[in-house]
Amino acid sequence: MGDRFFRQLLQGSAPLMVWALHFSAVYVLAEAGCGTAIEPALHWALPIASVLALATIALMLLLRGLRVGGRGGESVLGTASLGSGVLALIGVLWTSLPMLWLPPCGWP
Amino acid sequence: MTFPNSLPRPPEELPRLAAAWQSPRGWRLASTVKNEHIGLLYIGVALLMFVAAGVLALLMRMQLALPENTLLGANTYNQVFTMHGTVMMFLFAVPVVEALSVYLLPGMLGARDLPFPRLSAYAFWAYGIGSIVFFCTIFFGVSPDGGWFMYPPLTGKEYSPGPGADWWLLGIGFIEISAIAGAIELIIGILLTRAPGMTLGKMPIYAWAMLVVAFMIVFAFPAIIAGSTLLELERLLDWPFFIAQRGGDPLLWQHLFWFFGHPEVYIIFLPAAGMVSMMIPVVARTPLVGYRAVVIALVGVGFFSFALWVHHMFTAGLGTLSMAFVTAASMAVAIPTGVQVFAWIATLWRGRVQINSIALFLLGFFFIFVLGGLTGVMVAVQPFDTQVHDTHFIVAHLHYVLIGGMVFPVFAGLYYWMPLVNGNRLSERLAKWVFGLMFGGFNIAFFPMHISGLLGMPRRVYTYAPGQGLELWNLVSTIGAFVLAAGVLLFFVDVARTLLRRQQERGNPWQAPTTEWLPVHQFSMRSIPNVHSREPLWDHPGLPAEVEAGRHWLPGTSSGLRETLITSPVQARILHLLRLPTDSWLPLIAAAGTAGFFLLATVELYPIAYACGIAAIVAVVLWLWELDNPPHIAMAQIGDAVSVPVGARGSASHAFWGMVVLLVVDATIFASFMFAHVHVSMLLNICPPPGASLPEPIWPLLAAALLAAGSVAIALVRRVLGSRIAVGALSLTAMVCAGSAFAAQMIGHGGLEPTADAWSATIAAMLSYQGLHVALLLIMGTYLIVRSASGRLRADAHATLDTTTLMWHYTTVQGLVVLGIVNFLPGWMN
Repeated sequence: MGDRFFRQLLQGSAPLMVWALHFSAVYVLAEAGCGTAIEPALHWALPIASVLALATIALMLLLRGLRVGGRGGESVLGTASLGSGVLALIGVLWTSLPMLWLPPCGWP
Repeated sequence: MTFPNSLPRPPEELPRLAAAWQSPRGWRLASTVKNEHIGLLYIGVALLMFVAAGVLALLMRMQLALPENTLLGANTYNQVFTMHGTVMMFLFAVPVVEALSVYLLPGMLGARDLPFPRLSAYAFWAYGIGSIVFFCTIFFGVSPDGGWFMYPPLTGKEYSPGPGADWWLLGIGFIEISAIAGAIELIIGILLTRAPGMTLGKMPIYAWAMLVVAFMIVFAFPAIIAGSTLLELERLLDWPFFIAQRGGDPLLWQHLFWFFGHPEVYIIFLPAAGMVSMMIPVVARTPLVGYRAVVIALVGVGFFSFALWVHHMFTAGLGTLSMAFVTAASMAVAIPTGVQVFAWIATLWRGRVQINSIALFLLGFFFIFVLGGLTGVMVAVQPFDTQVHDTHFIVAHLHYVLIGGMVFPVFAGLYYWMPLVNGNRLSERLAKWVFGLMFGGFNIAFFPMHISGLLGMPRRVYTYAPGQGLELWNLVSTIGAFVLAAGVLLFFVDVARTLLRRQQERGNPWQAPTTEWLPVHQFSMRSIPNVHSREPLWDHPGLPAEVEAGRHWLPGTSSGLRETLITSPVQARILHLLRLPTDSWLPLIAAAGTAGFFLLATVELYPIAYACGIAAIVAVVLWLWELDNPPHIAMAQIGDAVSVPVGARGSASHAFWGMVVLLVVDATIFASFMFAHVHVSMLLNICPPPGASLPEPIWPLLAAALLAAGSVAIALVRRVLGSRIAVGALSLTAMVCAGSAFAAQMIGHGGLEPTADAWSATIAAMLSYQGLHVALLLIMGTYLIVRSASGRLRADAHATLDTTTLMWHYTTVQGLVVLGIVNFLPGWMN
């Protein structure tokens, strides 16, 4: 398509894609894993998925910061990588909070 | 300042341009494909559906005004509330936002037209014919009656034996095709036809909203198409996808429906939010505060909205933690939504607000939508949701969100953009009455439903007993509904009055900053503007005169046909000139044929339905036959010293990307079928279930090899374009391979009994979908051979081959995935 469109699009939306992957992973694991052989592993698999997702998004934000530095004049897709990073970070954190007080399966 | 073109313009330039864009008159206007006309027709039918569904709402309110009322019987009431919800959601809300964008976006983007005008015409006619026929079922008592979300088992053959459910599944399923066609047009149009200089960062925020929404449609609507297909197959062929006794699961429908249904709420809201972001700066006379933050918020809402589907299933017995994740996501979506709300407030704060018709409806939107959002956060909390589930509290919440979040902004938009139609504004004096009646009526109608809901008033029940404290609230709601209806009626009286007034020079009555307010003629703008800012008409007041004088890009037509510019997706640099298709009856015939096929199949008039289907295919083939021609000249002059290539091939062409988006839709439908297979497989103790078996390994291996061979053969056609015999031989080889691969798959599954259990039925569904694609490949392969034989497939005109090749490779991959999932999943599951 030109303009390195897909590269810029990917950079702009990658953190939200990580959020989507994280949400899909923890939802499917919690919904499908209960009552199966992997149930005991859910206690550590779910928090690890969240930590990995948070680390990945944080790394993306860090790399973006190093790439852009204090320079202004970014394209809107460039700014989007910062905004979507912040949104994704909040999204993953917020989505993971229930793990602190609910067991993976059944009620506490 | 230098301009792309100098003055004076050649005298023959303007008449030639006008002739190219001349539209038919009278009844022949039905053959128009110009988005300006199609958009207006589209808006008209969508508003007709709004009124029709509103009348059904009044019937419901009359029925519920008094306890134990006998105005409507239970069965009629079931049909009325089902049709009200279905028509409002599927035939008004989504179509009207697409219709407005089809009408507005060419001007807003600075394009002469969108890149697939015939596709827009097809989408409109399919929707127009389908929706009117679908609505008319209410007059014959054969409407669906299972609620707008059609949950099985209630809508299965056992409990809904009549044709009502089939009307919903086939009618609505097919109308969704038009929504997807519209989405493809919007994505490619927004990315590739913007005026030179209109970078993504300078694009009007409404175009951003529609871009996000179009992508959401691409990923959300396939789920409902797949779900409708499965439920119709269950009803027609007794394939038990949703029948628990045979290994199916009613929750499978709920997952598929709400994976579409929840994003749909945002598919409706985001365009309205985009309109609000366009109108608030005009009302406040200042640019939008936080443009980039709003863009990011739109994208964020688009993503988050796909994680919320389960909050419609909180009482369905899913896992505690998984539902808690959805609760959290439901609250997280408030952040990007809040960013937009605060950007609007900040813009109003910074500017000097003029209280006019637009401002009134925008303020009404704020008030109502924020209340709906707050009750949304309440019902995102599971214990509260469990209490109010299926009560009138939910009815109140969803109407506050949808009427506040969508109807009020759309009405504001109709006031704002009405002068584009014939230069006349709607009455400001009447607007105060319209707003007062609508705002007051709405709140009188729906606020009491919070209370009646908390008192236990259930949804979708045709009456209630006296003495439960519900009488007063219901009576007040009914009075409010009629006040709201009076406001809507007054609005349409004013619209009719305005449309009947004499055409005027439309000018820029609101002093708006965006390019849809540039002077236009039948050919759109005289020249395509060079855009340097987000508010070009504010920053460059001389732009309208320059554009009108023909000083900007492409002030004429190089081919004598309709043309527009294709620009790069991020920077909007000029890439090439696109010749647009002209008016034709073929989109209308194709749409009528498609509608006839689906709708007549519903009433089991199969011979006529098949004839309509064939007519639709023939019309599409003839339509395509006229396209993909070699350019009339290699380079066309669009400025004094600027010439650009005419048309493009391969991945540089808009048709290529249109096909890519279509295949994404295709893959998402297939993924929904795959999800159904995995879902029912997970319910099994042993996979495959007793009585079912996997094919012998030789058959899937053979099928895989043949699929790959077919793809290789079609890929080689590109290298032999000069030889018609070689093109024919390779295409034929590819067709034989694809057909044989499918035959091998079917032979391998020779013992499959789709009626026996849901596991087998889901395999049969995937095989059927693959078979449909193979049939399509055989048609496309034959078309390719004929086109080559007639000398129309050439090195400088091979879009037909490109799109066929894309579809071929997709079908190969899909076939390999079917083979993989069917044969490997049981081993993993066990």
